[in-house]
Amino acid sequence: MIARFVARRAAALAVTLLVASVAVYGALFLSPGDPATLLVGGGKEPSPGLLKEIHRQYHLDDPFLESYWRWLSGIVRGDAGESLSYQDSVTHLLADRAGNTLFLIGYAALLIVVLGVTAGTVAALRGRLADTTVTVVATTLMAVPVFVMATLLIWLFAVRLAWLPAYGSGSGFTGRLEHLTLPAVALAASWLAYVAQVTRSAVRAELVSEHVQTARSRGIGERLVIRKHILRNASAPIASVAGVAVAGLIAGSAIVEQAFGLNGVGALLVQSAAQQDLAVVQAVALLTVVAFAVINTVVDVVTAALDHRVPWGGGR
Amino acid sequence: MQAPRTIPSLAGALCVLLTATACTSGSGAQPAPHAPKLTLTTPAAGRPLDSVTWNLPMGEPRTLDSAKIADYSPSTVKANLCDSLLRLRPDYTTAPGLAASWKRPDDTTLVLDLRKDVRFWDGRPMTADDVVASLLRQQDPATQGVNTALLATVKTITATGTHQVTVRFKVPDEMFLKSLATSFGTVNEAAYMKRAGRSYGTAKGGLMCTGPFELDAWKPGESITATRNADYWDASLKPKVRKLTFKFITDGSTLTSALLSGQVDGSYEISSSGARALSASSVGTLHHGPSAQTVFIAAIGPGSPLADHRVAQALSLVLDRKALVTNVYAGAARQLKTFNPPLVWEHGDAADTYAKGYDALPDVPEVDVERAKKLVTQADPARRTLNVAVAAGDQQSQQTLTFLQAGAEKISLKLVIKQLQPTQMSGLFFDPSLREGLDATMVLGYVEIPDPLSYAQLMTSPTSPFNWTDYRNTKVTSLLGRAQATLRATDSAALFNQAQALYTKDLPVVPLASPYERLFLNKRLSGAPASFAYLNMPWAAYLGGTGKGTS
Repeated sequence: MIARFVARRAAALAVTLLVASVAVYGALFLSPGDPATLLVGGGKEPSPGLLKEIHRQYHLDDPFLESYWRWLSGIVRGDAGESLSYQDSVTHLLADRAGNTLFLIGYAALLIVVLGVTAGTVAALRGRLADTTVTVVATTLMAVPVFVMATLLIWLFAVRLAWLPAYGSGSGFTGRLEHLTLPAVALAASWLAYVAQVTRSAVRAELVSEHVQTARSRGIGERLVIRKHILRNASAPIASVAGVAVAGLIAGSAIVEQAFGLNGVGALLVQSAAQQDLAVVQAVALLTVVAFAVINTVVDVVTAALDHRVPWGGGR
Repeated sequence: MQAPRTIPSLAGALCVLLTATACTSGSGAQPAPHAPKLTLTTPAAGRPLDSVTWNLPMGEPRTLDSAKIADYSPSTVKANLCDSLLRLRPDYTTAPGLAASWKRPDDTTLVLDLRKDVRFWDGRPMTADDVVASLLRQQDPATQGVNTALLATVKTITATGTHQVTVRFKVPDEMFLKSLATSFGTVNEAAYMKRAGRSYGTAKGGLMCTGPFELDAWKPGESITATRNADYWDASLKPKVRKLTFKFITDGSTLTSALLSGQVDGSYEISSSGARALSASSVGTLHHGPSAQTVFIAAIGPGSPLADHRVAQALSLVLDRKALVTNVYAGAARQLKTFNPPLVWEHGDAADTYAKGYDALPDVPEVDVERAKKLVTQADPARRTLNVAVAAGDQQSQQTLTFLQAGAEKISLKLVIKQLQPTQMSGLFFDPSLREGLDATMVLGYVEIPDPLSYAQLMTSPTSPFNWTDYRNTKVTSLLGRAQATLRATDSAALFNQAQALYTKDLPVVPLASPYERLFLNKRLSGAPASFAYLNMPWAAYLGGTGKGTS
C-alpha cells in the first residue's frame, strides 16, 4: 500500500516538474533585455557582429520549442548547459556551490527541529513562566524579516563582539560551522518560532486529551506519559509543519546567502536572474522545485506513517 | 577613454552617452564644504605581510582578458597581474612600463624599445612577438575586444627586433601612446593565449602575464587568489604581500561589516553609506583620492525633451549641487564645469594649457529658478515629463535623481525615475527598442586614458555608438580630430580647449558631480594609492604592513 502511495506521489511530482519547467523556461523567454549585452564591455564601441556571435554561441535566438527541447533533453542527460556570464558548465557551477547551501539548510533545519520542538514542549509542560517566555520570544522572532535578522546578528556577533565571522562560507567542517552559524540562525529564526508555537499547541491539546488522562489515572509515570502518549501523538502535526519549514528554507536561503556573502546556490540564482543568465536560472529554479516537491512528498509519507488516522490511499 | 558605468555590479561600464555639456557652471574646481582631504597615495609601508583579503564591490569579474576589460572589478585585479607597455602613475601621468623607452622617428611612426629582462610567470622571456600578438589580437573580431577603436589610426604593428616594436600610423595619433597605459597596452604571452583560445582570461583558461602577482586560483563565486611573483622585473616594486585574495561582496552593508570586523582588509569604491560607518571606526582608515569619474545625466534619443539644450540647461540651473554633494556624496565629490575631471590632465605635459581652457569655461551655475523657467518656456517642450532610467538597486543614482526631481518640479517638469534590471540597462546601448518610453539616463563614467580627448570624442562624435540624440557640431568634431593628429602636447591641448568651449555650451550631457575615490585600509596595512589611477596600476604591489593591528 505504501508503495502505491509513493508511486502516486512520484507521478504527481513528475507532472509538477514538467509544468514548472515550461513555466520557468517560458518566463525567461518573455523577460525584456538582452543578456548578451552584459558580455560586451561597455563604454567602448561594440564591434559589429559581436552581439550576433554571442547569440549564435548561446542559441539565444532559437524558437521556444526548439530551445526548450534542447534544454530538457540536456537536463535528462545531466547537462544543464553553459552559463553565459561564467562561460562554464552549469553543472559545474552548481556542484561548487551545492555544498554550502546544503550545509546551511541542514544546519538551519536542525536548529528548527531541535530548538523549536524543545522550546514548544517546554512551554507546554513547564508552567506559566516558561510558556510566557517562549510565546513572547516566538512572536517577536516571527515578526522579524530574515534580512533584518541577518543585519542584527552581524552587527552584534560579528562587528561588536567579534565572536563569529561576518561573511563568507569557510572551508572544512569546523570552518563551515563557524561561518554558517549566524546565517543558519538568521534563516531558522522565524521558522523556529513557528515550529515552537505549533509544538506548544499540539502538546497542549494532547495534555488534556482523554487517553492522557486515562494513562495518568492508571498511575503511569509522568515521563512515560509525556514520551509515549503526548509527544508521540503530537508528532504528526509537528512533522508536518517542520517539513513545510524546511521547504521554506530553500526560498529563504537566497536572502541569507546574499546578506552573508555566501557562495551558495541561492546567491547564484539572485545574481544570475539579474543578468538573465538563462541556463543557470533555469537549472536552479528547476532544482528548487524538485527539492520543494520531494520534501513535501517525504513529509506526507512521514506524517502518514506517524499518524494512522491518515489512510494510505487517502486523498492528499 | 572610456567608460561609464550605470550599474554598480554590472560589468560593463556601459554607459556612455551622448552629448555635450554645457552649462554647468559654477564654482568649478571648488571643493564642497567640509570636503575631505585628498591624497594621491597612502603612507608608504615597509613590512612584509603574509596575506591580504581585498574586496571587489562591483562583483566578480567575468574575465581578466585585457582585451575585454572595461569595468571596475576586472581592472582592479588585472592591474596587479598583467603589466602594460606604459604604466600609469597615481597623478595620471605615464611612466615606462614594459616599454623602457620610445621614439618617434617621424610623425607616423612610433618605435617602442622593450625591457630585455622581463619574463612571464612561466619563465619564458617576453619578446616583441608577445607585444605584437597582444595588440593585434584586439583587432580580430573573434577576440570580441572592446578597444578596437583605438587601433583605427594604425597601419601596421611589427616586431623590428627581439625587443623592439614599430607602430606605423595612417595619420599622426597623439592618443595611441597614452592608451598603452591602460588595459589596451597590456602584454600577454602569445603562445599561452593561442593555446587557451576563447577561454583565455576566464577561471577555466587562466592568464599568462608578467605582473607582480601571479594568478593562483579562481573559484567562481568565491574568490580569486594571487600570489607574489618572486622574480618580478621591477626591483623597486617587489610585492610585500605574499598572498592576495579578492572577494566579491556587492552588498554594501555586508561589506561594511566585513571591513569593520577585519575579515576583509580593504576595498576601493566605498559607498557613501559605508563611508559614514567606516570613517568613524578605529579598525582602519578611510582615504579620499582625486578621481577621474563623473556622474552625468544624458538624453536618450532625439525625441527626448532633454535633447533640447535649453531644457538641459534649465535642469542644470535648478539642481542644488552643493546640497547634492553634501547629502548624497557625504562631501566626497566636487562640482565640475564639464564632464572631464581635471585629474585627467592636471599633472600632464600640457597642464597649464588645459588649466587655462578649464578656467575659461563658464562657472558651475548657482541655482536660478527664474532663468530656468524662462528657458523651459522658450523651449516649450510638448512633453513635460522626463522618464529617467537608472539601474535597479543603484541607491546613489536614485538619491541624486530625487534631488533633480525636486528642482525640476519648480519649473513644471516632471521627472519620473524608471528602475531597470541590469540586462535592460546594458541593452539600452545596443537595442533602440529598449529606449522607447525613456528620455534620459543617469551615468557614472570614468576616464581611463590620461587624455581628455578620449572622453570628449566619446561624448560628442556623430559616429560614437552612444550618440543617441544625433548631437553633431562639425566644428567640435574637426577640432577634436585635429587635436588627436597633433603630436605637440600644448598645441593639441589648445585645439582641445577650443572644442571644449563649444561642446560645453551645447550641453550634450549634464554633468552633476565628480565623486572622489574612496579607499578603506585596515590599520595593519598601508601603501596603496588612493587616486582613481589604481585601476590601471599595480596598486597591490605597493601594499605592505604597518605593524599595527592583527586582524
